[in-house]
Amino acid sequence: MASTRDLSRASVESLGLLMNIASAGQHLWRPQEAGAVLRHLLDASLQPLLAAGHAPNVPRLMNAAARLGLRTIRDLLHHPSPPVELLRASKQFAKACIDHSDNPVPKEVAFMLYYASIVAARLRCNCRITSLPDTTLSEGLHWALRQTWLDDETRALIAAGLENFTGQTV
Amino acid sequence: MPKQGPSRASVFPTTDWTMVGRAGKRGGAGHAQALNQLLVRYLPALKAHLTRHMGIPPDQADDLLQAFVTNKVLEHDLISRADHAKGRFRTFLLTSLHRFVIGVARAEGAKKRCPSQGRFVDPEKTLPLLESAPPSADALDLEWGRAVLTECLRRMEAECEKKKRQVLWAVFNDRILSPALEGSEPLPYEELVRRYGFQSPMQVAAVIAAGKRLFRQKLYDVIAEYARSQTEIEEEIQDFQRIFGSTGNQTRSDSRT
Repeated sequence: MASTRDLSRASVESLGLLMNIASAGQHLWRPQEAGAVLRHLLDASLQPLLAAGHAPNVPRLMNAAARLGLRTIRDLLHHPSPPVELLRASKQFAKACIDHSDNPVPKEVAFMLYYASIVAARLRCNCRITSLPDTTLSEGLHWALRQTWLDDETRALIAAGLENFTGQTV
Repeated sequence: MPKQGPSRASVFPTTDWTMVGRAGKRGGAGHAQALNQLLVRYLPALKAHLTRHMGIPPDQADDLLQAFVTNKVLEHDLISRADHAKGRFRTFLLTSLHRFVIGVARAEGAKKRCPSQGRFVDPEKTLPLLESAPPSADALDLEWGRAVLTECLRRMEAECEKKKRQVLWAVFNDRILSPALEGSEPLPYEELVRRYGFQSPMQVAAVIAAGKRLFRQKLYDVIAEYARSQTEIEEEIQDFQRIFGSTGNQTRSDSRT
């Protein structure tokens, strides 16, 4: 571990990097970590989605999730008939992450959850939970499929969504 | 000369000009203590300035500072002539030290025919350097900024220890401090999760953000102990960023965390 007394030999560049910590708007994430963060997010409990205040009647949703055996965000996205309210909460959570200046998850990961939630609602609940026009949505899904860090399971979901929304196959 | 070292309770113990005022009133209440605190605070930066930027060997820099304190600060009441309307106290000290070193170098030059006498400075090397350029406030500010950051980190680590937030300090160190100081890669995300048992990316983000906030808070706290207003704190930070060549959004190629 670096000692706090090491600064006597620190370069001016290093001191500059430390001073930058005092500035707002610093990134929390490294670009190459998107895949690892997405995997971690998918395996995280549903609780943060509900605790963020984007879902109505949280106890009822938690009960619904428990009845269906949904523990993680991955479980939610890939369940054959998930509660659509939970997918709305997931989409809203992702949107809040995109808009948040400190990015509690990397923006690209938040976008991935955003699109995956929309697609899962459409495919599994036959429900449109976005007001995005199809062309915009299609661009977003194409973007998602171009990401090399995307896991196979989510890639298959997004590809199926693209076909459903636009008739295009990958 | 007061003991210099990083293990003091606080290097920045009270408002600067209040202390300067007390230190400048010989015989006044708290004079000796204020003077001692001022010297503890400023001498390390002055010494670093002499060694790093004026090329004076460390042992000779110690001797020079000892002589400066004895002759100028103690015998000639240097501190009583400091005036906050004329600028920063450390610039005042730097200018005084610069003049003092020129005087010493000239005297050493005059003693050249007596090689048996020890020298504080090599007049042939030091005098042209000193006489051709005014003292560089930036060079001293750099050393001052280094001291401020050191103190800021010391306090942050101490608070994390005291409040049992060792994970916050460890993550700050693994993701931010070590990469900045040593140029190492930040601890990879997956290793961070494994090592500290984070349950979600939001938890990781919260800890990293809390570490940055605490660092910012400590930086402000340290500067607030010698700056007189919020504006001066902001200006000081901007000055440090300029001196360190940081812009507020610059990063070492891939040290974004």
